Amino acid sequence: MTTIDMSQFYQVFFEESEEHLAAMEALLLELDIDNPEPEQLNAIFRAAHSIKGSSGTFGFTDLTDVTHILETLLDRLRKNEIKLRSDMVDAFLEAGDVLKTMLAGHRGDGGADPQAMEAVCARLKQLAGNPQPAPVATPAAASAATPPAPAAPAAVADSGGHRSYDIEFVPTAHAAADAAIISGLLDELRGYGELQIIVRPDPAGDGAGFWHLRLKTDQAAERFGDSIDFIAEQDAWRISETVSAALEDAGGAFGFFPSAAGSPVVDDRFGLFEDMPPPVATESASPAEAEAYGFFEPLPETPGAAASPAPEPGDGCGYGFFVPLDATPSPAPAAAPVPEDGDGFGFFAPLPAPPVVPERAAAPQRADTAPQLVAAGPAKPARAEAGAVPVPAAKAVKAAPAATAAETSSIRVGVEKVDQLINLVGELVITQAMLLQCAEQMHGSVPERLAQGLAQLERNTRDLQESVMSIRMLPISFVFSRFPRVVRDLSSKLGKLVELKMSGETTELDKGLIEKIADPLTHLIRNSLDHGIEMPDRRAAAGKNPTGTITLRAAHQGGNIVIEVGDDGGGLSRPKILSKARERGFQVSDQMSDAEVWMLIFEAGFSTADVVTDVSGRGVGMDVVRRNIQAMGGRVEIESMTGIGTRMTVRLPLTLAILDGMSVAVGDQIYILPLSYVIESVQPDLRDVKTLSNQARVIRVRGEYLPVIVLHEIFGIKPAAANLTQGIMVILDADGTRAALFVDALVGQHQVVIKSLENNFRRVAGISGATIMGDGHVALILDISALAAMAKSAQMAAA
Amino acid sequence: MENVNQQTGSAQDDEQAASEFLTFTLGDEEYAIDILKVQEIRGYEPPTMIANAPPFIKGVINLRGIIVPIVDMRIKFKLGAAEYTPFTVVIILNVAKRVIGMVVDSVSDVLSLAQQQIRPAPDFSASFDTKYILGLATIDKRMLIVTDIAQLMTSRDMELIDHAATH
Repeated sequence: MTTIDMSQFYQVFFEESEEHLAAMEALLLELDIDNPEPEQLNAIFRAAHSIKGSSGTFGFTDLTDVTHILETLLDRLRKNEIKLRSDMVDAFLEAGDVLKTMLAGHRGDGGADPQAMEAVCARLKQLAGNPQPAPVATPAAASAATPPAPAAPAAVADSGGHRSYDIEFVPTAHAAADAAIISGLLDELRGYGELQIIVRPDPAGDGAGFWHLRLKTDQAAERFGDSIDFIAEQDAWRISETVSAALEDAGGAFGFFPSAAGSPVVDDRFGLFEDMPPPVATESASPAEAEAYGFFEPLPETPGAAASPAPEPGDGCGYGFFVPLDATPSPAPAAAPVPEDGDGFGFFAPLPAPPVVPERAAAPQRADTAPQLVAAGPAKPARAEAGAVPVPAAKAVKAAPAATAAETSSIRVGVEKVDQLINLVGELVITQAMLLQCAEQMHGSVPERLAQGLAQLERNTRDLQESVMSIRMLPISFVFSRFPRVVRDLSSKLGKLVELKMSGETTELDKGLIEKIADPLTHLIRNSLDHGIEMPDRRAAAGKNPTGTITLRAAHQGGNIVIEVGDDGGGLSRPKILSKARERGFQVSDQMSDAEVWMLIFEAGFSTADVVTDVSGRGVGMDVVRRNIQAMGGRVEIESMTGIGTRMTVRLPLTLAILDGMSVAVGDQIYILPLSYVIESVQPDLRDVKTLSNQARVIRVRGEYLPVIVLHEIFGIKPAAANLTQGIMVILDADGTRAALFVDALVGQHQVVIKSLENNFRRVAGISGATIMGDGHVALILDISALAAMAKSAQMAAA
Repeated sequence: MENVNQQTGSAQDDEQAASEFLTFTLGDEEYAIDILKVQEIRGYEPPTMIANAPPFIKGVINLRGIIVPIVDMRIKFKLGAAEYTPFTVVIILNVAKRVIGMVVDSVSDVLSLAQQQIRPAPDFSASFDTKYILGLATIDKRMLIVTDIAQLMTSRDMELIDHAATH
């Protein structure tokens, strides 16, 4: 049979495992230790379990080993056999870290430290109390812990009783016609133990059709076999005993049965079948995760014979599509075409020839087992994906883990493809602007229909652009999700009590920015934790809650995204910063505004921490933070009040590709101002413009004196407005300091596509990029922060 | 080391007989550059000025969505008058993975030059415009200055590329 190159799926495995690990970590951090929600524990268990399943599939046994131990402990927790303690959460987090490094190791960057791995395993084992949980055969302890979960189809091998049976039958027409007969049977079975109805026929079909029940009981099959025989169609029933621990989730694997000829109900014949023995046969406490169940055709077999075939233990997780075989008298394992350590499934085409006897397939065959029986259809190597087969899709979604279900509604696409799309839309925006400008130049002589068409085009282009940009948008929770861990680890390291409050996690941000903002934000949070929040005793002494709060908030504001990192700590100390700045030889004065003083902490080599810790205090962090944020076209501001706290606000453009700009004219040149910096524009009155030391100019706007940046002087352009009263002042907010930019005239407001100047040229002071205007000309985008700095240094040089 | 390089270089050129060069004029001088470095030739259009750039950097233009800097070689080499007429030509070069536009007076020819036709230029030592001269060639009594355009454009003198050390 075909061997499948598993390596092609590795990438998917790595990505999925990383997602599972991230989900696990997030859930762990949310856990209320004293009163954990069963659903959360289950979700954590599922995440660990999925990793275990797929790592086993791919042959990453080291991952399987660690997750197995992790899972054992989790399982005992979720069954309330042991109580959750905070040291367990620590151990889980640690295990998650080890798994991450192991994953990285398999990816080829770095490797896991085997000692760390062993240490974690040992710790988990010790926490679990019993490294090898009692085999299923000891029901006493287990029965107490039976999860009352018929809805969550649990654990076949679970502890409800000694045995678990899969009962499958098709009732006779007579029995089917009378609902009481069936319900009587169900009641009878319930009397034996815990009954779970896995498949019931479509009620529309008059009760006729295929039933699949699962019974957990300590009774022998013979006890109820007769009752079923009575109700079921001649020979159309089967009871099979499920060996403990045999059923286990194979990490989202499942298979479908195509319909078989000669069976009464076609629809119900499709099923999900997931069956996998654990790598370690002795493992019992891993009740299969709910997803495992299957549909089977009725069997014309004696109960005794039917009860015996149990899935053979193997170490692959194989699964397959089974189809009724033609009249096979004895239990013949229909082997799935299991590829090398097989994660794959195959379609078996239906065979005609009733009576139909699909054998309970011993799905997990050894990996190298070739399909022994019917493999009429091509074995399709594919990732198990719900919806791959249209008809049973609904069931697949129900049964498969949530992650798999989600795949039906999303696709993975390379970022470069999306970027190409964005570039093309950028070109379209330019072309559209060009057409519009042409039409405007024709003034009134544009035919009405053309004008309408152009207006329509403009709307459509904008919509298209927005939807294309939204492809790249990711919720900021991708970044935020790591911070609970950061805060937790760091606060325990520093001996502080800190609560992290996050809001606005759904705020969407360009993927490129998401990747770049993570480091600066981490730095800001670490800084707040280290310098902002005081020790608990000091907080108590100051009459505050000993537990400090760090707030992380994201929101849209105009065309920007605003991320705030706030703490209710001691606040920045103005005298301390000033004295430190003097010590470092910075140019400071006592007249500086608070905002300016706070900005000093972003200077290179500046740290007010008295003690350099491994957390912060070396003074390298904050200047890097500011530089990174500025490189993204964003800026950072600080507000602080002594004793109350500090708030750092990061403003970022929504996207790196397109910005809202205001075009201004200086001489014969057009420049673009990013609109987010513009506060207002004023017609200067000569009386408001003053000079300082006859050099630096300031303008009085609303009672405030702002420095004037004269663009044509900085850029050496011959202006149309030689006199300050002839032009216009644009009031800008640059990194928390305001300034007035003097230009000849305001031209308009556009969305501009940012083009790099550096691809073919070099950086130009005061220019952050270029764009193409509607007429095809290049306009340069002004770098406001740099201009403010240039104006300042020019004035200093002049003074 | 250099000798070895020259030998292998000339051996290669002998095999390939000749390479093609684009010739253009700057004032009264005629230059030749490797045609494989030329992306296209287009008319001059006024570029967008870049503030505080040296005078020979005329600015940037939009070349089908790419921002391309334009340098005027006549200003750089102080050759002829930097006048912009409808016949002023911009040679778009593709060197060092960059696209750069170069203003010249006119483009004259495409011709093949064998390695032996290119004679070493007399050494004017450090004056910058001779550093990038591969040699001189004579065709129909015209003297062609064969220029290593890639090296010239990426050099620090042209100020087209950020150099780590420059400020």
